[in-house]
Formats: sequence, structure tokens, C-alpha cells
Amino acid sequence: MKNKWIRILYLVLIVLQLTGCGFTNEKVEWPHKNELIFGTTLSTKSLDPANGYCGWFLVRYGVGETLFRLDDHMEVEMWLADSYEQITPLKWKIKIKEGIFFQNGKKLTPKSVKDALERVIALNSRAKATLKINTIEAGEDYIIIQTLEENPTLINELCDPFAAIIDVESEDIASSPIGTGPFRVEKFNQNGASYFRKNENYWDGEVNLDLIKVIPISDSDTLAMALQSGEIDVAQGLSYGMIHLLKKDSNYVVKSMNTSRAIVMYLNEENQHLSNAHVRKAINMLIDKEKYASSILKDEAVPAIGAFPSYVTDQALALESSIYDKEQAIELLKAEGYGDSNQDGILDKEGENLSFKLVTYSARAELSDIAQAIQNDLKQVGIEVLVEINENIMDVLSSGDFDLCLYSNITSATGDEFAYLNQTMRTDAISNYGHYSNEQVDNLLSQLTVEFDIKKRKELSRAIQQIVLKEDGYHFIAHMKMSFVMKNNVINLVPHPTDYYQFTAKTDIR
Amino acid sequence: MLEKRVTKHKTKYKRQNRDKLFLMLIVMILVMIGVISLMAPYIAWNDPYNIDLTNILQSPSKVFPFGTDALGRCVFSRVLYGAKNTIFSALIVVAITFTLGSLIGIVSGYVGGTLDHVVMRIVDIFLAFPGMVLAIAVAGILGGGLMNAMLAIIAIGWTKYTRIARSYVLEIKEETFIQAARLSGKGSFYIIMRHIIPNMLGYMIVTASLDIGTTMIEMSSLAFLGLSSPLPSPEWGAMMSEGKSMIQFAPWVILGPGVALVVVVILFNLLGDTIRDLLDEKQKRRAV
Repeated sequence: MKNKWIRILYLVLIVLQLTGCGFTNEKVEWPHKNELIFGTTLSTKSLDPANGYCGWFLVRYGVGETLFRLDDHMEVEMWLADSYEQITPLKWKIKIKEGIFFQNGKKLTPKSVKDALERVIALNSRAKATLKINTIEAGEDYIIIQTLEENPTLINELCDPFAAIIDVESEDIASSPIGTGPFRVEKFNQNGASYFRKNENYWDGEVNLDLIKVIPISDSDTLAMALQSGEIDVAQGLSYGMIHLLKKDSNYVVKSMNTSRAIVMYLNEENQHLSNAHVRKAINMLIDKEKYASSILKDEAVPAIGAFPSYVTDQALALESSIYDKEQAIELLKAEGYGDSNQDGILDKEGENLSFKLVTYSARAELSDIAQAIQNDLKQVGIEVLVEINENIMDVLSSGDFDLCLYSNITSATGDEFAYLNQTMRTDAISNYGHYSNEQVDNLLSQLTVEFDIKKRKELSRAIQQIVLKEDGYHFIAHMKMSFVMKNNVINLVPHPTDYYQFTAKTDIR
Repeated sequence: MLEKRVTKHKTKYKRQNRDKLFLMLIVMILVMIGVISLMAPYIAWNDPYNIDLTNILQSPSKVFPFGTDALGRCVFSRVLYGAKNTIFSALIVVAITFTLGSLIGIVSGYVGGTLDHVVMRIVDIFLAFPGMVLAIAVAGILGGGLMNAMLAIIAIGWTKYTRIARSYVLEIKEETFIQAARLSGKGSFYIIMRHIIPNMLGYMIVTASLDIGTTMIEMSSLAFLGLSSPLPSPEWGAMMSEGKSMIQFAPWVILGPGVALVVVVILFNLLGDTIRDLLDEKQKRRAV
């Protein structure tokens, strides 16, 4: 008897617990405060701009600033610099703004700019390779930069956060670098929360917030829950499903920006089938980019044509690439001699099955979904695809242990297209993992290396991409949007296409 | 006095009957689940591998009883197809660890001496590592795939049976009937097969059946971490991993395989419990 009642009691308790799982959609009044809590899936081990890509975090958190910056259309604008002038093909004069101070009170002088740039060139190999600076001279209110060779993209490259101007004489640059931005480092933690305090003497206006607390949360589900419980005010790195869900919730605001982060498929031309341009074209024609962008990526991405998102939005730059056409693809393969001679459902030619290994990684969840969708679409016409998830994707790419590879990277980091094209499309270039090669493309790239005229640069870039797309050397699937999801009382915090700029003096909580 | 004894006996008899009935019921349900999982291709009316991007994350309906996942695949069909992988791989793993572990334990316990010491030290080394951590490390080193995941779980699972088997053997080998058998000239193999194993088999089976549920969860954990069958193979753990980010707007994706896993694990645990209850009754009767 007693047992029966205890069991009934347990059952009632369990049912009561389940009622706690519910979805409420009430309107919440987020309180005003002077402290913003930012949750992100990204973290850094250092804030030193000379250390790899750590400068990105320095600039994002509003601590460091560069001589020039990129606007929303990826055009260069002045920041710490007042103006610039190219005196000779190798000599540039950059005038520095007056009245700017570091966060420790020291004045920003041309000498401090020279010291900061020389430091980063000495310590950061990427900076050295892209800036190609030979010497820097400090004048009264300007610096003169002499480059080692003609560098038409010098000003764009100075927008890269590695060129953030910091006080080189400060102690412990890795954990508390001194910059000129609206927030100074109060406490930096590699794995925990970091604190950035208002810079009372900011040169570009009054800073609204007193404090920004940045909390790295690597799991995007945990991040979503932190935002929904009110623990954090802004979340960066939520999954597309959650962004889609929170867009419908009036308690939150979603700010999105098209970026040049592309999902690109490498085709390894060392594979006997993929060395045939018609086979590559057939494969590219079986990938329905529009559907992937709208369903898998839930409209948080734009279907890509070339390597850069501007080619999608700017009609004048329109490129032609292989479009989705299943029937045409089947015809192409038939014409190349592929048939199902042994009736096993897989196309073959001369005894070799049309079978590929598609490798991708799980750090970006959407890549695995797209890989499976591609596997399914190709299977419909008899092409076998084996999907492999490998976290050491760079090893896979370098060793060539793939036939197809889904990868994601930023193609237009500093507004100029040369760097990406040169690294991926030139014969034997460092990121040309698919071994694509075309003599005409190599020639055009050499021309682009020394071309200063911006209009001509765009034309060359367009010509290069058109050749590559015609030969199906690569397949650009989509360009991602980047989103911040924030409480509806957070203002003046928008993502930037480069992902360099986040907190400004105007960022505030109403 | 006699009435009390008779009533006690009747109650024991009733309880035994009830337990036997319960055992039959559970075995029937489990066999049914086994048959359903093998018959999945004939029962599931949707193709579990068919990606349909126009139908993603559909909520449960007549066409899709458990809804669809992020690629538009039928969750119900995937649960049915996944049952075979999840359940049978766990059964095979338990069968192997049970046989291997028990054999080692029996030999070690019976022979004793240096062999016993060495075997027990090896067992201690394996037990020094937290189970799942070691399994993840082994699966990670061997690479993904169902076979490697099974090997990883076998690598951590055999020690339990070795220790239990050894402890039973140590207890049984001191019994007088064993001495008698030895005195009458019977060899070790005969004694082990004829006297020792039959006396411990029941309890070992209880341990094994209770272990099936745990093994299913361990296999699903490895699949959850991407260390089991390759995509797009339907495996309950991997399906739960895909579904966990979608709990707030598509809970069916994780609930389908999650509930299936819970139900099957509970059934296997009940099986083990019921067998143990029956054995306990038998033991009590013998003691009386």
C-alpha cells in the first residue's frame, strides 16, 4: 500500500518537473546599465597584434586602432591617419592626425607609429610579406614608407588589424597592450571573462559604456541559452537555426552583414576523373547552391558566383559560372564515356567507378550538412561520394588526401582581391590544394601584382575569376552572413564585412 | 503454524510465477524490437537516406511520424534503421566482452598464483583510466567507424567480467563438491566446465544483461562525438548529436532517437533485474 503511494508521488513529481519545460514568449523589459556583456564562440590566447591573427581581437574589442579602416563597402577611409599620398611607386607619405593619445596618456606621434609598425613587421611574418615595407621614416606630422617593391595594396593592407598602433614601450603587450581605442584592457583572461574599461580620454568623442565584459563560450547551444536567460547581452556565433528562431522574438534584435567568408569546394585535379574539365563541370552542375543557401543555411548566406560577394550584388561585375542543371550534367558525363556497365548504380568508365572522397570538418556545422546534401545530389545521377569528417583539415589539404573538399575562409580580408586569387589560383600557389593551373591566369596575376589603377585591378581580377570558373577549377557555393543577436536595448553594435570592427564609443545600452 | 508456512509458500510461488511471466513479457518485447529493427527496410515507408531540402525540420505528421531533420530526412525511418546498428552492435560487444572477460577471469581465478597476480595487475591498469575517456582515446586513435568504436568499448569492457568471474571462481572452488571432484580424479577442464561455470553462469548473465543498456549508451556516446559509423549512417547517438542544437525549435529530431534509446535501455535493465530476482528466489529455495 505504502509502496503504491510512493510510486504515485514520484510520478506526480516527474510530471510537475516536465511542466518546467515550456516556451514563453512574453515581452521582457531589459534594464538599462552601463556594462555590456558580450558572449562569443571565439577566443584568443593573446591581444598582441604581432602574434598571428590576435590583432583582430584587439581591434574588435575597441582597444587598438589602425591608420586606415574599411567602411561597409570595403572602401578605405582614414582613421588614425589624416591623409596619404603616393610620392613614387615605392614611396608613400602618410600624415598622422593631431591630438590623439594612447590610453596611458602618451601622445600618438609619427615616431610611435613607426615603432609600432616596425615591431609588427619584425615579429609577424604575414605582416612582413603583405606590407613589403623596406624602411619607415618619421617626420614632424607624417611618416614616409619605402617599400621593397611596388605594392599597390599597401593602404588596404594597413587596414589589417596586425597594423594596430600600440605603445611598444608598455609592459606585457600580450595581456594588456596600450592602444588608442575607446576601451582599454582592464583584465585579460585567455579562457575566462575579459574586462575592457572606458577610455576617459578617447580622441574621437565621449564613450557611452563604462565596461565591456567579453565571455568566450565555445559551444553555440550554451551561448544561445546564456543569451535567452539574460546572462549575456549580445551573442556572436549562434547556429543558423537559433538566429532564425530569435529573429521572430521581439525581445531580441538580429544584426546581420554579408561577409566575404565563402564556402568553397576544392576539386583535386590529381584525381583521374577530376583532371577532366567536363567531369568537373558536371559535378558543379549538380550542386544546387540556391537551395542550399535557403534551406540548409536558412538564408544566412548568399549563393556565390565568384570568390567575392561583390560579384553577386554588383551587376557590372557579373560572372558566368556553372549553374544547376541535372539533365545537362547527365548528358555531359555520358558524352565523356561514363555509363553503368556493371549495373551497380554507380557510373564507371574503363572499369573505374566514378567515386570520390569528400572531406570536410565539423567546426562549422553547416559544412557537414552541405557535404551530405552534395553526396545525395551526386548519388541521384550515379556518382558515389564518401563523406569524411576530419578536424585536421589543413593536413588533409596539404597532403592531397582528398578528391573533393569543403572549406570555409575569408576571401576578401582587406577589400582587395589580389591576395586570395594569388594564393589559390596561381600554379603551385600555397593554397592551391587542388593543383589548378592555367598559364593565362598566371600571366594576369603577374600583371595584377604591379597594377596601381583600381579600375584596371578590378578588370584583371574579374578576368582571372572568369577563366577559373569556366574551367570549373573551384566551386564557390555561398558567402556567409555574420550575425550578432542582442537584447533589443543594445544600440550601435553592428557586424562588419571584415569582422574587424565591433565595439565603438557609440555602442550603448538604452 | 502449518497454515502460515503454506501461505508463505503460496506467496513465494505466486511471486515466482509473476516474475516468470514478467520475464517472458520482456523477452517477447525485446525479440519484437529485434525483429522490427531487422525488418526496418520493409516497415519504414520513407527512405532514411533521402535528403529533401524542401521538407527540412517538419514537425511530426502522418507522412513523417517523428518529423524530419535538418536535411529533410524522415526521423522515424532513421530511428528504425538505426536500431539495428545501435542494438546489435551493443549485443555483439557485450557477447565478446562477456566471453573474453569471463574466460580470463575463470582461468585466472582457478589457476591462481603468479598468473592470477599478473592478470589482476593488467586489469588494474585498465581500470585506472576513466572508462569513457579511454574508449574515446582508443576510438580516436583507431579512427572512426563502427568496428573501431566496438573495439574501443570492448577494450574497456572486458575487465568487469574478469573480476566478477574470478571472484565467483574463488568462492566456488573452495566448495566441498569441487574437492570431491578433484579427489575422484577429474581434470581441471572437466571441473570448470561441469561444476564451476554452471554455478556462476546465472549471475554472469545478469551482469551481462544489465550491461547491455550501459553499452548501448557508451556506443551512442562515441557516435555522439562522431567516432562511430560514418555519415550519413543513421545511428541513435549521432542523430542525437545533430538534434541537440535544435531542441528549441525542432525537439523531435533529438526526442525520436532519445526516447527510443531510453526505452530499449530500460527494457534491457528490467530484463537483468527480473533474471536476478528469479535467481535469488531459486537460491533462497536451495538454502532453505
